[in-house]
Amino acid sequence: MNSNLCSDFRELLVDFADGELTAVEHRRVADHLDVCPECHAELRLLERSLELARQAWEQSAPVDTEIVPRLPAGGRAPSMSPANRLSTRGRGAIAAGVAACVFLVLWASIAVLRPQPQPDGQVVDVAVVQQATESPLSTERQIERFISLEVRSARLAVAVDLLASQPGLEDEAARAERYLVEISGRTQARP
Amino acid sequence: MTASLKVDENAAASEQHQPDAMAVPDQNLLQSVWKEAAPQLARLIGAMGISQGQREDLLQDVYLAAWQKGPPGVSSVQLRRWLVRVTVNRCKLEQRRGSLWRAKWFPLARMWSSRASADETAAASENREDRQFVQHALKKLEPDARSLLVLRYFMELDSAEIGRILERPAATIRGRLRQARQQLAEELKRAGYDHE
Repeated sequence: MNSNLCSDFRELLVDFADGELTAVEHRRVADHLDVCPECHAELRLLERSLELARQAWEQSAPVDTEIVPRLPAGGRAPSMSPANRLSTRGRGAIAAGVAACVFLVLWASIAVLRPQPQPDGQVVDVAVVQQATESPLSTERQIERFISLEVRSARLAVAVDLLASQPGLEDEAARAERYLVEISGRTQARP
Repeated sequence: MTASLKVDENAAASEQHQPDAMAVPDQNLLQSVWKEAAPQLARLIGAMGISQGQREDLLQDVYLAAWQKGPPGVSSVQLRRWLVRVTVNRCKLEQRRGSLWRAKWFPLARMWSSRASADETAAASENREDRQFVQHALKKLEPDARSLLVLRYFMELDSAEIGRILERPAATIRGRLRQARQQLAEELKRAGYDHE
């Protein structure tokens, strides 16, 4: 079949399928389809694709339910700022994400702060290092350890603050703070 | 029977000759139009491929937009058209936001969802695969093309009404619909779907 002729008819196939052609045009296209298997196959694909799309839409569309719009008390609609547009589920997801990040930081810090074996095989307790730092820092190694401990403690303190600022995570924040006090040897998390 | 988004042209014409019936944006008008249109708007949102978790939020956004920025001095017919237009535009925005994510993760999601269950019949398996083909093809369409297909072939609005809703000429709508249908069929063929 002449491909130029076919391309002209293919432009009309959608309108043919939708019944949008005039009677004369409809007859012309129908006659062509009777003798052109490629165009006939194209029409079948158009019809089948629409049929499948309708099935997909039916499956994804919800059943009719009463949809009651939510407005705050007093009848004033909240602002459309991004923070207010978050649903409860969205806020929960964000809180969970923040908590996950904070716990990851805590876990990484704990993994580093646990007693490290020394080259000679002795395990040095962080608390021992802390006691040693109460006396003047005399060696470079002691100074390094002191600075490292202080930095990690500060990082943990920030993580505790972040947890405490999230609604519903106060218990986790309190637990993290107790741990920080325990490992840093201080009487409170922050100086 | 489910309320439709189709407009009764006689009612539309009679409303236009009753300027006193228009309200601005009157709460009673919004409530009554919303009550009729909301279920269909929800179906429209679902058909546009918006995820379950976002649908209620999106519908809420549309309602709030009508509350805060609804067009003044309109009839119920015009308000319903405005609601559909706003809903379609919000869906298109969500689809554009999600398109990058889907481009990265869709192959994995498709691999996961394409697993067959142990007791699945051959017919059910074929149906499942057909659905996956068409879902993939629909997601490949531009949001504008997809919205036109949904409005025309799922919400059963004619080209003229779609043109009034989207404020575009009916001939333009018809042309875009043709392209969208051809594109859908092409995507299906490209994905390897065998319709014979």
